[in-house]
Amino acid sequence: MQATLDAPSAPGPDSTRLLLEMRSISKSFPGVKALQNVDLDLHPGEVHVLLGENGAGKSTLMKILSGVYDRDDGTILLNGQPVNFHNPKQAQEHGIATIYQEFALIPYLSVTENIFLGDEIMLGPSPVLNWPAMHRHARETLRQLNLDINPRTLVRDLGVAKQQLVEVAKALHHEADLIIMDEPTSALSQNEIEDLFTVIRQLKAKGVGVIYISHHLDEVHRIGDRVTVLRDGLRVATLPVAEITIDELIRMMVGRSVDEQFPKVEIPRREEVLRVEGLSSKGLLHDVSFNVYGGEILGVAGLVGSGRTELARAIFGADKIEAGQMHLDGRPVKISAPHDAVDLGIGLLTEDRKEQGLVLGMSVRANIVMPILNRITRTPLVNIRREQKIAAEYVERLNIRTPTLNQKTLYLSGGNQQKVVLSKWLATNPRVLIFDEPTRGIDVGSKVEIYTFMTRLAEQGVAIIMISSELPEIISMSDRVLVMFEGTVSGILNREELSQENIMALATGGDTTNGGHSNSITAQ
Amino acid sequence: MADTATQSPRNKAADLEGSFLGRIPVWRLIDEAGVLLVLIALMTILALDNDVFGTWFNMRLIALDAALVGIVACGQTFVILTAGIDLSLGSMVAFSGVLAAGLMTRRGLAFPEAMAPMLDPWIAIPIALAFGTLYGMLQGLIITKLKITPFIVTLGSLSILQGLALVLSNAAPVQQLPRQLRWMIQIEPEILGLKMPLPMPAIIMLLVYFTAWLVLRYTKLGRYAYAIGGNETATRLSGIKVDRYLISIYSLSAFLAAMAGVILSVRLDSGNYTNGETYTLDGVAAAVIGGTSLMGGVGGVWGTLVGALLMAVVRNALVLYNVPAMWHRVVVGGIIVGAVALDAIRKRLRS
Repeated sequence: MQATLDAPSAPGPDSTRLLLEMRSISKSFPGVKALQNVDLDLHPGEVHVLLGENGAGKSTLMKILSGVYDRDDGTILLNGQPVNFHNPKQAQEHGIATIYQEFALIPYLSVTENIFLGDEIMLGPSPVLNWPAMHRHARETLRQLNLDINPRTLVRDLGVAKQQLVEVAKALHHEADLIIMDEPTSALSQNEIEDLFTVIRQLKAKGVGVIYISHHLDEVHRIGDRVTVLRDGLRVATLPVAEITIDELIRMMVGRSVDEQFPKVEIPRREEVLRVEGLSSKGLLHDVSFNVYGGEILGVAGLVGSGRTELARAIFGADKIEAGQMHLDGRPVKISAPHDAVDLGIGLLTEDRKEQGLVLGMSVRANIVMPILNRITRTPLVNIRREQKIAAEYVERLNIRTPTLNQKTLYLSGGNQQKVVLSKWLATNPRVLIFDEPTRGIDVGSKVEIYTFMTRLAEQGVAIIMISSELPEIISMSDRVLVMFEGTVSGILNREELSQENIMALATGGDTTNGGHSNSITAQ
Repeated sequence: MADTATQSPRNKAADLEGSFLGRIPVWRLIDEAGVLLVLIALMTILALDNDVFGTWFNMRLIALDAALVGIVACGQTFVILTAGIDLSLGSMVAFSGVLAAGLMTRRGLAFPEAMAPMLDPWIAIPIALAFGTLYGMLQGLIITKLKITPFIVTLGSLSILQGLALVLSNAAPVQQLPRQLRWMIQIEPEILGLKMPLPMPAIIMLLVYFTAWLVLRYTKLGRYAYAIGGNETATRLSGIKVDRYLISIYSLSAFLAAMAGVILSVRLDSGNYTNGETYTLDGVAAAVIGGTSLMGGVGGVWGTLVGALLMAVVRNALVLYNVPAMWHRVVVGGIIVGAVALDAIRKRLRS
């Protein structure tokens, strides 16, 4: 608490008292025990890293703390006082701020306006805003964090990283003494991550406690004081970061060996299916060339914003391309819209299945047959009986858990939704299938099923392109890996060359020899 | 009426979990019949309280009142299902009426009478319908290819079409339409020697709704209307030619409005630029009262029919109870907001 603001190194936490104690928190959702007797505590000035796979319960725990969910059982003490939040506002009033991956800033308002939103300073008792005072306070808050941001700038004119720091400033302005950061670095470059860490160290110096959720395991040692690992709603361990290695953390998180997670089968490579030459699109892709063979799984790795999704969209005809040729089974093809791609037997499982993959208000059946209605019948009519038959077949084959074929996809779990999307593309009998982040946000069981299907498709001679941010997935499932950096192909690695170091080196624009300390290692 | 496209006959896969399915339809019926129950209750009360209301004659008047706005609302429902809106439909009613009347009577057209052909109705009417449909297609092209929101494009058309009606008619009603067209507005029509209980426009409306229901349920166009409204991106990425279907739907709604316009001009014996002025928003209101979401993807035509009838019943009751005509718009507006508010409250209570 008494450390100076400009302390160059992070001061240790004040371990003499507890800012937060969560004791045996439990929470159930219909059919799922999301949390069982989980403990978590936090000292002032401490960064406590929370780790766990998707679905391990991290978000649920944080939502209970920030008042979004009510807990079923357990106690929460804040500065030794029991508290009971029923909505996020109550938590905020007790000094708990949450910084989400998607920021809660209003883009067309200035930094000052965002910081003061709902808490404006007035000119005396009048309804007139006191701009000079607000700008002064905002500048002061930004200065405390050593941020070089003009408070009059519109938020939309700031980069993602600066916006995030404005969020921190806003939290500080609201006198938060506990800040929850949910994957704050997922969209940041290395330099920006360093800036964020500097700010976090300043928060520590001011005695603010930080709960830090991340998938980037290397950050545990760089910024954390203690780490808690959750798995399947249970707390596995809480330890000082100095006492544990990354490998041990992975083992705690996953709870099983890597082999069971990734059912990779070596499949002999067949003839070339898709060849892409010199693909460019405005500002996003530059001269991308590669090929993919039948029976092959080609991984596509790269940092966020490196052009992986853009590459998939360009191949699929969803975005305009400026230059480049594509060959399918040796013949030149022209794809200018998604329906061309579908007609040629190319499928795309989008990154965001709710926004782009499914019509959530429509049934499982209608979603599965969507791309093949024209093949079921050439007339303008639909043939519901045949649709039922086809949909029922995929529901059974992929083990989709749905009460009926007419259930709206909205009501399915993430894993089952993804299987509906997969069914939809399987039904088209594709030559090439592009998976963009196929396992994001789905449970471990469904993941294995999806890998199994991917493998089975490869065995049938389908060429598979798998875009993923999860390096273990890329390394375990791919035959070759194409690494992207700033819209270009920075390298293609063969299976025997695959390692996290090699991929990260290419993904950050270096070559494979200077990997090392700056590598991000993404868990599972 | 919600979710017509995703309903389907009982399927064999239903035994995946039979007991669950068994409970759904009851809820679903009540859910979908919400506004219908309101309509029935209102009509029962009115029939008990007022001797005139329940007569067949009065029922025919209500059906006549609902018929043309109902046809417009049916097309509007298709557009709203795709998460669009067509504000030009009322003006299309005026435009097609003026055009058809002008072509048939040689009166009122903006060019010299000598140049104006006097066409047989069987040529004039298809021309008016074709112009209307082409205009709708043009709107669809602008919306999809230039990516301008439907609200703006059709707002412009609202003015353009009414202006064209004004120009074509020289700002005066075009009257004295051929008597041979009277069949389409008969109050007590006979079809194949059978006396019909409903006026001809209402029979035409019912045919339109039945066809529209079949289209929504059993054609790709219907399926894609729901899909586009539910998630246009996902639909496009499924390889569906979204633009083509949107253009078809804007053409279809313009066609139905043009058809209503021709019938209205015959009924009023006047093609006038003020015809159908209120139909645009009444059509939107009917669709929304009937449970079609302005966000797209949810709803159906039967609900819209109930919405149109509900508004006609209210207008009829206002006349029967001698409410001054000046107040009618106020009451009808209140009913629109009230009906949708009731529905919203009901849904919130249930969840």
